Amino acid sequence: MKTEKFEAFLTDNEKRIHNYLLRFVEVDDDAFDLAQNVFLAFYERMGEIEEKTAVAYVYRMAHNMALNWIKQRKRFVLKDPSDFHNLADKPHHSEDPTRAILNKAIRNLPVKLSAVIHLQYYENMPYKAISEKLNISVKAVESLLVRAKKQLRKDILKESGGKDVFNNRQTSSAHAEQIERLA
Amino acid sequence: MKCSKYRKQLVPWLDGELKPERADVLKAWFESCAKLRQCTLCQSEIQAHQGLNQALQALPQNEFPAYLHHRIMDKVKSNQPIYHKKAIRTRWQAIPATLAILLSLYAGSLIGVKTFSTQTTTTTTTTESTALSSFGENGLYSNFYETGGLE
Repeated sequence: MKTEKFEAFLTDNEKRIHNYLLRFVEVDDDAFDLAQNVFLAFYERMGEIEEKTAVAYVYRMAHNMALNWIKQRKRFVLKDPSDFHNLADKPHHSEDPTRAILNKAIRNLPVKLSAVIHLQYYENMPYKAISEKLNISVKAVESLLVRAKKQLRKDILKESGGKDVFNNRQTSSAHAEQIERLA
Repeated sequence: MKCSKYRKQLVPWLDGELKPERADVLKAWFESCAKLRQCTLCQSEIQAHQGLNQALQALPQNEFPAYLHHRIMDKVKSNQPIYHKKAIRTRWQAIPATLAILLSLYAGSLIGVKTFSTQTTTTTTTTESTALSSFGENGLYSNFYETGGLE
């Protein structure tokens, strides 16, 4: 891919990648920093990347960088938590517990599945457009989405203790087992 | 058994990705399945998938700030000349390195020639001493005593 096309590529994908990173880091400022690092690293490797697979490649880079960032953050405690008692709350996306469960489930998905989920449900892209973006077949998109949703439901059920949080009703243990079997 | 077959197409059906005629078949099946067979699993599956879809679509979509776009572009542009300069520096460094290699080769060959020519002289000396033996000088000592040494 030619470096002259970088600005167009950045304009097309900056919002997409930023929102994808928000599922991992949940704070805007961190997502901005990571998005910047992702695009700069992408620029450095542009010569080695084919144009057809560029979107899939940038998703993978974002996924790996976000996981590295989470791993590094776990190593350090920079401040005592009591220091923050008097600070005003920063906007945080995972205030809603069901949303936090959903974000965690998305984080646990492999990059292929989470990228497809992201393009389908956040951007409302049809299967054909997703297949073109990621350079895979339409059938593969369908299969990845089915797998991703099964995995998501399994993780959500596990996290919420058998409660189908997005169905607004308590799932019976027998039914939960049946759903798990289907998933 | 048939329900499971239809449930496999639940995801593309709810995403509106099936052909209209196939979508109608599925819709009719799931309606009849609920009414006639009292199948609760299909209905709960549909509800769960719809709930999950809504939750996924409801996740916030944040805008990417324009200043960050410009900052990335500035960094990319400011990095370009650095890479260029680096490449040039590497090329300039190659010239003295090549010269040094050539000089060392030349010096090595000169030393080699000099060493080789010394060996030739030695051989000549040996030849001379061999020639002297024809005059009865078999060795250094014999010559030494014969010429009145240590008397």
